[in-house]
Amino acid sequence: MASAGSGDEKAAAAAMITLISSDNEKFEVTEATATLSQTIRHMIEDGCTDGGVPLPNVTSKILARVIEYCKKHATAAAGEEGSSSSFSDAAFLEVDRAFLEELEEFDDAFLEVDRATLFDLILAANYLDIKGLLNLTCQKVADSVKGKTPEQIREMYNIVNDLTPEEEAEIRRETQWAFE
Amino acid sequence: MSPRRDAAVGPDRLSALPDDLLHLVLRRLDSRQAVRDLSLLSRRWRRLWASSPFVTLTRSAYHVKFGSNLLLRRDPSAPLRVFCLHTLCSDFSTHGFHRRWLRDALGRGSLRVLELTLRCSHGFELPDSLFTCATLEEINLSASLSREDISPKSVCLPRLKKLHLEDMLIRPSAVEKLNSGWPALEDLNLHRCWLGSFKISSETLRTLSITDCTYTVIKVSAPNTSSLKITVSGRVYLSAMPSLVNVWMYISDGPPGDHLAPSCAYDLLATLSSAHHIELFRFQLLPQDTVQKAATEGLSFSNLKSLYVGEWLVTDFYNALDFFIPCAPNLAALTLDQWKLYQRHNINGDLSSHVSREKKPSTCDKLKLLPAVPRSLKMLLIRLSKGDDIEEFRKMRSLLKEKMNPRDTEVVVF
Repeated sequence: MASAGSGDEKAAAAAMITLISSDNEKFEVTEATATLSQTIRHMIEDGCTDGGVPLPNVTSKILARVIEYCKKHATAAAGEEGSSSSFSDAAFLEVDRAFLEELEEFDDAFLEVDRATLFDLILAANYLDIKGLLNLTCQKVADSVKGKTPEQIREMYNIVNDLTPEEEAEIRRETQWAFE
Repeated sequence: MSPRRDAAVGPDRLSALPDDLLHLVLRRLDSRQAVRDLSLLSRRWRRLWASSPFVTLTRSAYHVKFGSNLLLRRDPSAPLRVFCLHTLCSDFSTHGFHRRWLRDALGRGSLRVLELTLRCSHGFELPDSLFTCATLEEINLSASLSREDISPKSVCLPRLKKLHLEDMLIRPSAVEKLNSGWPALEDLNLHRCWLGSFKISSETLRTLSITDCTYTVIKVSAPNTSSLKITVSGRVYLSAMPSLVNVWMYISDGPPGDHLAPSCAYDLLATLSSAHHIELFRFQLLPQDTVQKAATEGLSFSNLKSLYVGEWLVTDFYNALDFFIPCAPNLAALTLDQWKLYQRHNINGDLSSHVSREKKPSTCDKLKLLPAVPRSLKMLLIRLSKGDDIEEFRKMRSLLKEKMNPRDTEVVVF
């Protein structure tokens, strides 16, 4: 019912931005995709994106994933800018719902990554200031920890317990009020 | 006690995250787990909960003592930015605690976001300091069991950008104070509120939503609004909104001749005329002479790209078609829908309580007189109840085909 394809046609005419990863790979993206990142949005506003935007903190592997996320979510945010063929706008709430479900499925699948990638994504989302991606990835970590014992969490994330038994006892006393 | 792990197992990426990111993770966990269990992970984690800028307190068995301790024992040098309180006041003593926490949070001089969900059988009585908290940027207040009064002594919220109120009663004395006390407001959302005679006057407002509220009059002067959502159930006076992009408007049945006074109805249409996307429910309730007047005076919807019309019956669509087709030359997508009304009112087939089924004379013939639009429609979507008049629908569809020449048509019968 909803066609995302027509969004791309429109995009071809729109301004393109080049993002350059830490390992010097270049990625061409539309402005709509790039500006999901507040960091890049500010650079565009300041007019300092000519010749590409170097992102020394993000590898090409992670940048490719981040762009995949932004592309998908930029289509979701479109409509307001008035592409008449975008059915994600106000007039098609019902289609909206289907699209939101699709977006949720996308997010779930997107998070099917190993732990190292997940942390790289958190750091990239933070550096690029992409709120949705930061929330999504932090939620994933929180979910993995929810209801687990300290020992289980340490094992899961390789956390070294550097507390002496005395310190541990002290913490328990300090937080006694939270056990009551 | 716990066996020491060899660091060679793999890097500890979690603990290596900066504090502000770990706080984002902690925020998504039960505060009790954060304090009790995570503080035992390692030295790095010991006081993380105490320096978090987020405090969320939710009603539970351990609630009262825990909440007081959490606020008392957190690191006093760490600014509190976001405070969320979800209460269920079963008795006056918990009520007292909740009010104390709220005043405490407001009084720290750093609070940016306040989220309050009240489920009290008696009034909670919002503290005055809530309305004079100079650091607040966002307020979400929702009451459910009883309506909560908004009647502050004074209002001074110089940084407030977003205000969402649900099930609140705004006292007449508060209206002027609010308008002069929120100079930076960008997003106002009122849902199921009692507004009486209300007024909004703002140069900064961009998003305005007033849904399912009870009011006699609302006067809005917010020229920079780009997104408007409103249930028209009282007299609504809108002044011009030239930057309007999205509109959602639901016209309620009401005492006839009252909330749809011709002058209001005309202004509504005039304000809508700059919008790009309109979702309109029950357009046919607007007094037709006003609609006619707007049409003959040449009101033009030249920005309009997509139009959604929600009505109960096929014959009800004609008024909207008749009005919009000639004055919206750039319309690309048109939806005629019954389904969302059925959804909104939880109807399974029987419409008798919402609309009379008596056969009205079809106004279809008027539509025949319209000239065909110069630019054809890209998309026509129709959703129709299978109980409705199929003959009438066929007539309408062939007319739409003839007049608008849609590139794609989709018809869903439910």
